[in-house]
Amino acid sequence: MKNMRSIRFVALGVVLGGVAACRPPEPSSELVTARRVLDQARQGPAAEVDPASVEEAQASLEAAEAVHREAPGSRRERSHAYISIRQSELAMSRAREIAAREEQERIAVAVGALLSEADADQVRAQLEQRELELRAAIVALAISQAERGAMSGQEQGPVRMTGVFFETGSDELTPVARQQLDMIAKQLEERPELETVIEGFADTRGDAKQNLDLSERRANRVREYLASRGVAAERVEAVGLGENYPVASNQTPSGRATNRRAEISTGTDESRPSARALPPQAEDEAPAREKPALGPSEESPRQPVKGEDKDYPDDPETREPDATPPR
Amino acid sequence: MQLLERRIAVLLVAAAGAACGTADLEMSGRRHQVNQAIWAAEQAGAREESRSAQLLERARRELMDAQATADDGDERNAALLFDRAEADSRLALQIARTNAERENARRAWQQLGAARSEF
Repeated sequence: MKNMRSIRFVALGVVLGGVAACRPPEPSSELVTARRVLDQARQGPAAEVDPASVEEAQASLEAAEAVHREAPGSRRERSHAYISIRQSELAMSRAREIAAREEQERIAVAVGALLSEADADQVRAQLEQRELELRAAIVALAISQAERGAMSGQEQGPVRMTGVFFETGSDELTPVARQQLDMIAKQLEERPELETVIEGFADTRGDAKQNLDLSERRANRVREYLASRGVAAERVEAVGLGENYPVASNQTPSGRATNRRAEISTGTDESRPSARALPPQAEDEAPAREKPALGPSEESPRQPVKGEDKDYPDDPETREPDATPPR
Repeated sequence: MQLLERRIAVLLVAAAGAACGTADLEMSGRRHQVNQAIWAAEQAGAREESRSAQLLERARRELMDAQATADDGDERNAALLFDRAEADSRLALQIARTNAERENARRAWQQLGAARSEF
């Protein structure tokens, strides 16, 4: 009886031992962590950003698994698993680095767009300011004209005036100027009794004598244009007054742009506008003023300008677009 | 016969010496490699952030342990320790780089905020 009980206990112990021996060995904590972290790396952006590190992590994990089968929980298993964890973390950190860099690029684009918008706003503000200055200049011209009429004892009468503006060193009519002159030509066509005086001007940069010549070319260019629009040349007098009679400060780019102009004054016989005189010093330097010529202009071909602004090719103000025409 | 035995013994000793020399060279090479990785991480500022600083410190300890293990003749475990040290120092370097980029991104956000408020 005693023997039977002992035999049963021994058999039970053997069975339990066998069951325990058949259970797979527990993986080390490092191995468990390595499996989890590698899964994270594979599922995230790391697999795309740094696939090499993810592959290395995979290889290290496989080595750890192999050692685990042979010698579970051994130092070697834990070391391979540890290395796998680090390699997975390296791949994920690299992905975060790339994400941070891309974020910087997006921000740089946003800042660039913001600055462009600010630049555009600044340009619009400058153009608006220029338009205001031009309108103020035109008002000043009107006042000046009226004063001249009052001093000469003439009635104010139907004296109308306006101005067209020119680019630096140029006597070419801008598209805006042509539009203005088209309107003037139409008015003159409807009022054949009106006489017209065109005075050309220049700003003060460059040689005074060349500016005088330039101003005369400007006045003649306007006269030619009006003639091409049906305004009889004998009704129009064109003179150049050079740097004289500025209507704005020549110290600023916008002021100089305002002074680069041709003024157009009209009036009937009773209130006929007359061209202003050159100051005595300028008179000595001026070429002989000619009567309005009939037929094609005898103006010499346009030479490279050595007058205003030629010495300042880099001044961005001199490259401003046409002023908004006065309304 | 004695001469032959003597010659065989000499050859065996020479071969053993060569093997040891090769192993020494390999360990020396690994040590140098890990030292370079630790240095690179330090240069990138790994010491300035806590996680990367911890990894760097661990890499240094593992390097010392690896060297001691190699000196004891246990090359297999020494190689593993060198690998661990290198993995830690590479991760320390990467964390330092990632932190630098994150800092740059943070500054860029500040600039954007300033630009928005100005314009």
